[in-house]
Amino acid sequence: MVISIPTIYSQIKESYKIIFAVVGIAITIQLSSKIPMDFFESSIIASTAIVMSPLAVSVSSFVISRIYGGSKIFGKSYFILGLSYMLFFIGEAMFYFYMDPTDNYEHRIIAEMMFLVSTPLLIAHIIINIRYFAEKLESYQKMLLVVIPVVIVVGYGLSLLDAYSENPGGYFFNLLVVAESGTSLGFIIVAFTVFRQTVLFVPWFLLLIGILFGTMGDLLYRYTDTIAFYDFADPATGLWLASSMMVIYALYQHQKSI
Amino acid sequence: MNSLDRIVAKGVRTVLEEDLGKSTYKKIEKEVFDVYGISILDAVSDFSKLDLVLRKFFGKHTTNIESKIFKKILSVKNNTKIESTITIKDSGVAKMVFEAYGDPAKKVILDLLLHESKSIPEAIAKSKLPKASTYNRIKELIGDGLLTMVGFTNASDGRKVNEYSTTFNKTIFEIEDEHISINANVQNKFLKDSFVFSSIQV
Repeated sequence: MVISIPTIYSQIKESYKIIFAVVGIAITIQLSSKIPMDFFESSIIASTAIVMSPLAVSVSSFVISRIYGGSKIFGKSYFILGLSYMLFFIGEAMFYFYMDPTDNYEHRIIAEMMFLVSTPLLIAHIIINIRYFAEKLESYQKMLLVVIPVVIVVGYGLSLLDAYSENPGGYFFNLLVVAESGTSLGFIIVAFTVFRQTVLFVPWFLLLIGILFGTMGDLLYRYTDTIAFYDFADPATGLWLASSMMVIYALYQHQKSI
Repeated sequence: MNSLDRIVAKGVRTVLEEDLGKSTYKKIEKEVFDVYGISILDAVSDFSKLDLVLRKFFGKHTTNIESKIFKKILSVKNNTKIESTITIKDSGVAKMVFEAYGDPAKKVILDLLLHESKSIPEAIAKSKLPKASTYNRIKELIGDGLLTMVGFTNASDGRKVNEYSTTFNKTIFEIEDEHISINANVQNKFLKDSFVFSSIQV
């Protein structure tokens, strides 16, 4: 039997149309916030999509975990991914159902803590998979784990240095969230290199795109949040939605592949 | 196929299902059938075939995954230049060995071949058990990896026949609640061509 290594294009050629569709839907929903509506706020579609999309990812992850029968690697890691997005959903739901309608942001820290705990769970999901498949990481992979978050944190921190004097607490909190996000991006890139020549290439490639969109969304949101006010028409909305949809598609591809 | 590999083969399915889930196992099973037209149990009996299929799934990480699977089933400790101790940790595999030693007829055969290798006709004659059932039991013991072919001898009619000996020299069973584990001594020469042994040594 000859084992040939397929090219990246041959593996993702079935997926790229869906990737474009996902991006298109996300941008459409984001831009819908600019269309005036008679009976509802313009942002109703975008805000509802933002709160429901992590729930959809969470439910999908639990379903995938169930498909793998609670097995030690796939079953456990997808359950953890489901928990991660469930916390994400709870955080978003607090904004959607309580803080935004009442304009009372006194308990915002609780929602922020949900987001803060959510990312380490996502990282745990990636680590469980990497640890099972790769015996040890190569030097360049270890470098990526350090360089990617450092570049993101330093870049973000320096670009907002002026805002530090106005609100040091907010500056550091946002920096912490950005650091988490950058770390998750580092891990997903390493995971992608680990699964490059396996049957799991496509799902991990899609997950990489999903997490990349999510990280970009987080960066833009935290940047906007530090210097001004977030609006649903901001690109962060589209990036978050595209991220969630891409992760769901990655989950589908994972159970299809193995 | 090596005797140790035959013993371990019985546990591969359980470990794969525990780690990656039944659906993954079924996909591997389907791939084995599509490529070789054989069942996964037959492929597990010939690790090179399963290895190639796993490589298609897991690429260069296959060696690492195989090593992890085998290490969950057993561990090997080198005692002397001649002998090693293997510990069977997988309950299913240990149960299979335990049941073989618990079968009175199989026990007679295993005792007979413990210190002296014999051909199948010789073992049947010396066991003083019914011929047909003894023959079947010897075949089962070979299939389970508990008897190892050690050489050849000439039968009474001049034919060249295989000689067998027990794979384990000394076997200790440890039973705790429903869990069985086994410590057994095995000659190093039996481990030489074992795919499992070379995998866990990596």
